[in-house]
Amino acid sequence: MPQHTDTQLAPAAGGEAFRAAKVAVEASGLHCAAGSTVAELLAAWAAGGKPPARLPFASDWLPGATAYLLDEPNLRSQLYDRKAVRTLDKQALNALAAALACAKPLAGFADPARVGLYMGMPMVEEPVPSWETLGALGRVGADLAAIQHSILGDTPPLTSLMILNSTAASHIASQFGVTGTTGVFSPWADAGLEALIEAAWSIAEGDNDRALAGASAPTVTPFLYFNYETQGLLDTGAGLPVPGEGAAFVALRPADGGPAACLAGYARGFEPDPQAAQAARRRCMEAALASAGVAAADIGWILFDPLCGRAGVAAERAAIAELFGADAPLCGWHEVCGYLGPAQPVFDVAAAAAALLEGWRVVENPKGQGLERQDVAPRHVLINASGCRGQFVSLVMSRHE
Amino acid sequence: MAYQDVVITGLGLTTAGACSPRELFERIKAGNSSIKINDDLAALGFPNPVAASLDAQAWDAVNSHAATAGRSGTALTDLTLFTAEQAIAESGLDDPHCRAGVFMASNRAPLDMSDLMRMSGALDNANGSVDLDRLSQAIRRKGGRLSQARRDRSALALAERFGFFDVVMTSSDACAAGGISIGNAYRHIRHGELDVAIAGGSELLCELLPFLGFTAIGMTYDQPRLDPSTVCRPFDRDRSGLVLGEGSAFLVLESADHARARRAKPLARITGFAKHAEAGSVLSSAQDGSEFARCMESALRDADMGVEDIDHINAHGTATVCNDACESQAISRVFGSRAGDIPVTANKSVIGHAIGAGGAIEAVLSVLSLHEGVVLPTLNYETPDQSLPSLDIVTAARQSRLRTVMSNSFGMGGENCSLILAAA
Repeated sequence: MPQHTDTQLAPAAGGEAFRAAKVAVEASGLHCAAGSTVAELLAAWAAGGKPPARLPFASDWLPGATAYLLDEPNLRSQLYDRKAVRTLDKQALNALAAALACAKPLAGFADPARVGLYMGMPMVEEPVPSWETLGALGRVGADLAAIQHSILGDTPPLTSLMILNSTAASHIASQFGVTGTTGVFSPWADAGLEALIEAAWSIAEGDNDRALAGASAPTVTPFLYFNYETQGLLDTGAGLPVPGEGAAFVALRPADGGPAACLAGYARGFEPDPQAAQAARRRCMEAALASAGVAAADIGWILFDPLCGRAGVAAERAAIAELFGADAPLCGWHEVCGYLGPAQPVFDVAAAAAALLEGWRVVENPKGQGLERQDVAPRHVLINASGCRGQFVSLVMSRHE
Repeated sequence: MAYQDVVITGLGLTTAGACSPRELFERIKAGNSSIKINDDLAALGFPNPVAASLDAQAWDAVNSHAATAGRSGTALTDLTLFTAEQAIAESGLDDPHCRAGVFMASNRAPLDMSDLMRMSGALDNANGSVDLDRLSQAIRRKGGRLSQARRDRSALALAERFGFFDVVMTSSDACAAGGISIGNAYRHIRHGELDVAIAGGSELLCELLPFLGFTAIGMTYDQPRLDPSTVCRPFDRDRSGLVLGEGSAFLVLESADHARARRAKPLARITGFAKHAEAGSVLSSAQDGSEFARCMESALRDADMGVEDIDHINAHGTATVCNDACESQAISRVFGSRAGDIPVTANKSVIGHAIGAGGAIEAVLSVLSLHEGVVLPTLNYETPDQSLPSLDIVTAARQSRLRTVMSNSFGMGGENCSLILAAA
């Protein structure tokens, strides 16, 4: 079986083909508490941002829990299919809202069979039976057949079309009429970057001419916190994580000559041993740099994943400091819109594309908490995403003239 | 771009009635169904409580393996590890320097009755609400799917067990997920990112809520009670819906160069793969078969093959009225005058529809068909549907020298996948 040494995360073979394809971000769409564009995100941040809301279900178990919540998006005026509205849960509707915000370039595109759709999705929670049914379940001597009928009565008729990630992707494909290659990945932040990398490969390998790639943050419910608790994410030592609801999408195409923000290289890996996490993350970033053909000194901005457990965050920060120095230009957007799960890295890619083309960056203030904007034009940006059990992906984006 | 050839060197499978690929192959060859009355669903009063649930024999094997190799904490992951280890053992893989990945299909871990009972116990009847503190304690105390539903859990367990750290990917593409996970692995090896991959899927959905969900949209078998072994009737005139199944299947894929270098004997090759979004109705594919056909044609192009090159089709064949009609039309569209001459089989007639694992189970059986030169029968195909194009639905095991098999998986909501497998 494979042994994991420094050579294990060598640049991905095929990386040259990936880089040569010059897959560029053509447009982006966000849907989060801070707005629907990178400009709105920056404005919200500059204005100090809104504080997160206290959760309606906070209890002794979750004292003081807060989140950046969204109202369910009202997309009826933009959707032709009422069934789609009825059979998408909130996080899928958020994804659709973000996709709608970035899909303008696809309007009138000649061949929908050459447009791909790739998504990172958290788990879709199934509808929970009513209190009445749950109460009946707990009664001694309950009639199981009656309970079955009761649960059936609680079950929305099209439940089976809501609880699979693929059906969320299908609804979005239907909305835009895109019928190229497709893929859905789950469930953590690394899944968002996997979706993006696979979308770019689909263009590099000639399956598609364009692709939509995006991801959704999980809907904030008690189940999300049960999940966080199981993964040890509530044990941060610095208060509860503040999740955000939302989604992000980007439209990808081959660069066509003008200035473009391109996906230049990537690497990915897995290291379950927390003791080895820092070294493995460093190797992953080095492999991504090599794949993109750039050196650590070329990286002008680093967007990192702030929700991969206390040990994961520490390993990530230490690996970044080791490779890029203690004053590495780091940024995590969670202070503005919360932790966005699979949507986090897509959100970062959207911001990186804007920064590469517009010449700015927002970095952690080395003197203390918070972020500060700098009019420094990065030519290369590193984006990291992690799962909470040792999965990690690094992506390098570069400006091409 | 210079592509690597991709070969299959190991197989693993666990389903109702079988704890290995060859056991299931022989079972189907002999025409024995694994579909039975599911006592738990029967107790809940369902009029059609048939399923191909994993049986005691399978769970004994899984649990015995877990007791030796180490328990993962969830039944789905124990099943996954048991099955994948079969494939790794057959491959003889022992290369400490290869670049290796995991490609796992798994749609979801549904709430089961014990979860619902636990939630019931956390009800605060005085306030008409769930006491989250009590629920959290119950979850911590007893474990359970509420806290174990992470979709990537099994993929990570595979990565850790085998040291396959370079790519770890979890696909959740409904009924096409198993085929898509194999196709994704094939692509990663083909373009040189990996030397080796374990790819497949596991699914345990014979539970109350999935059963209700599929029943609610009219997809499950819904006729009055018959002999359970006869109710799943792919392509038959009297087909009336799918039967849920459970199981797990994995394949070891590697570059031909890597297999050659370690003198491994390939069982088969993967030569083509396509996956498409359909962007039509979420309830059914294009009725004229055009979308399934587009997927099959893409896979043929990917394999650089023509319709004359396909010797056998392992159909998605769910036994729903709509899917089988669409797939029949699609085969006819793609293969034209050859459509009636290509032997077609539908394994779900024996093992039900294991959703995310289905495509992987059928790929394993397709490899064995290539290897053994046997086309497996479709059980319960008795009366052709005269409204559909005439196909050669195989009803008894047939010896045949096979060069290639097309294996189809079509996901609810319109995620379609076709794989093309070839003799080694």
